[in-house]
Amino acid sequence: MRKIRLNLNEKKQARQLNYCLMFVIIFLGSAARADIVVVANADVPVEELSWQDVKQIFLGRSHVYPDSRTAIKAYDYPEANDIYSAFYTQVVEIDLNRLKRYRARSLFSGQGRIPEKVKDKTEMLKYLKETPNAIGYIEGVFDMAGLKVVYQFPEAGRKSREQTE
Amino acid sequence: MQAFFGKHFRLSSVSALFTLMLMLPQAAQASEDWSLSGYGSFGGGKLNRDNVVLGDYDDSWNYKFDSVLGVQVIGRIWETASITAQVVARGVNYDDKNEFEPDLEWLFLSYDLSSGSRFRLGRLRLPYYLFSSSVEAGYTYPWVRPPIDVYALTTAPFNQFDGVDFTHYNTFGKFETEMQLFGGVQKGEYLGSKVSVDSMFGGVFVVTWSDITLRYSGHWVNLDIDVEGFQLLIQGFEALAAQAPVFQDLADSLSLENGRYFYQGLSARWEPSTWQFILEYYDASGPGEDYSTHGKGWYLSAAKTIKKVILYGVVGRSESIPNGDTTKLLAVSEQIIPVGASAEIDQLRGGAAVAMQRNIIAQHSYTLGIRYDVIQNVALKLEGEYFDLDRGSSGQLLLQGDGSAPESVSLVSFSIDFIF
Repeated sequence: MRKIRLNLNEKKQARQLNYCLMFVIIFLGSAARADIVVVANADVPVEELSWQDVKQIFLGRSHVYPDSRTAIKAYDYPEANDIYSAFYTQVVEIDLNRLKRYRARSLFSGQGRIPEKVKDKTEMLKYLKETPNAIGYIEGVFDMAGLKVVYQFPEAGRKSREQTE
Repeated sequence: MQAFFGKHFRLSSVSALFTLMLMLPQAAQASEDWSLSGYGSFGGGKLNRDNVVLGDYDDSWNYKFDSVLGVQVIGRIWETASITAQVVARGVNYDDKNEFEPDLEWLFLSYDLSSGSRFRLGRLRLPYYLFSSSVEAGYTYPWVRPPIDVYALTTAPFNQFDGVDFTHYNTFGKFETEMQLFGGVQKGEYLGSKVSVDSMFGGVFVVTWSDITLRYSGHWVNLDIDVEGFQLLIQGFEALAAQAPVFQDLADSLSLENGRYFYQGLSARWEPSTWQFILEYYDASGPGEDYSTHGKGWYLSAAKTIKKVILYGVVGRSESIPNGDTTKLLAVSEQIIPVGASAEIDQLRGGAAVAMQRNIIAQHSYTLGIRYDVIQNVALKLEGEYFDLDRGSSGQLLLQGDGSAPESVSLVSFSIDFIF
């Protein structure tokens, strides 16, 4: 988290207050968006992913980021986690029973990759920030430092799909 | 190419394991992005007849045919390349390997050209069927084993090939497509029948829309078939060739060299939430001469998931008819040297006639079963299968002794499947 240091100099104080106000606006922007977002490490060579990209990545079909030669390191939550079911049913649009069957087949197909599991949101953020090619998904408020949002749900998802249909 | 792979990739059990052990630390050192996973099944079964066998199932409980253990390692060696190895130990092998002797099933280099395209080089799974890629990982499908009307036991030793493939994924709106093109060579053995594929190529095309998947696979195969059990017949007929040329033709008809087979598979999967419907059909046509067959089969499976339980039923049909050359030549030879003129010739002709008859596969099969996911990644399955055999055929089962095939056979089997 960015720290705000106040001093007695009025000019500096005003500037700091401006910074503080900007931070609050950015932070509240994130906080207000309680929807699921797909988040990647800031070093990942993509700024935005389409719905199809997100689906291919989290179903393990894509092994490198679009238009790049950077390997994908995807992270996922345990199946019991609410965000796991929300992400796959609403964002990826795959039934959980079907996903389970698909994952089991994909694991031993020699073609697919299964995202690595993390315990919770805290661990997800830790891995996303520490791993240069990492991608995962998060719901709710989080610290954006070292990260970037590459896909938003639902707005961007709908838009993306409408464009391709 | 075949010589290269034959020399370097036809690894023995010890060298297969050794290779895997060497790869593990190398993959780990090259990158942290590596994984170790595996699957296994412990299964058992029992037939209600004593004159047929299926795998090693007969009329007493056996526990090897559906038992298997596989270990898979995937290691990323560069950003865009990874290496995958899979070693499998099976309870029943159809070649000279011992039971549960580890075998190098896969060893390939995968190179990602883009986010949707990749090349692979090495020993790969031959994509005949919908479940080809995970055919031995019982946990990945509802049944104890894939329906043998399509997943014929005779093709089990020929599930992998040495060569290259190219896979491309694409999306068109809500349609997802997958195309796989491949080519290579292959060698395998099934109970003394040695198959050597000099060249093969083909493609797989998959379209997925929502919960519906359609798949087509087409394979062209150029192969030699050498049936060990025919050698005495071949030698016997060749020795008679001086008496009449038809006996040389008979000897030639019992082997196949440079035969071209064309395999086509069509499958559909519909998975509306807790239901799973699967239909697979195949047609494999040989050159129509010498010792070649024309096989076809299908099955329809319906499965319903109720919490941790899956109830399923399967109905299927398979047929494989040998080319009629040998039978016709036997009739011609009987016109030249009538039956009864020579006991030795009659014995040879009788042997050839029985061999042709026993290679006829014609059966229906009906399966009912239940799968219970005991805990995560562990499933317990129990199923009953009824084989309705056409007259004179033992279907996908092997007839033992000199008796005739039964009209029907029942199989009860179970398995405990797991992945890790």
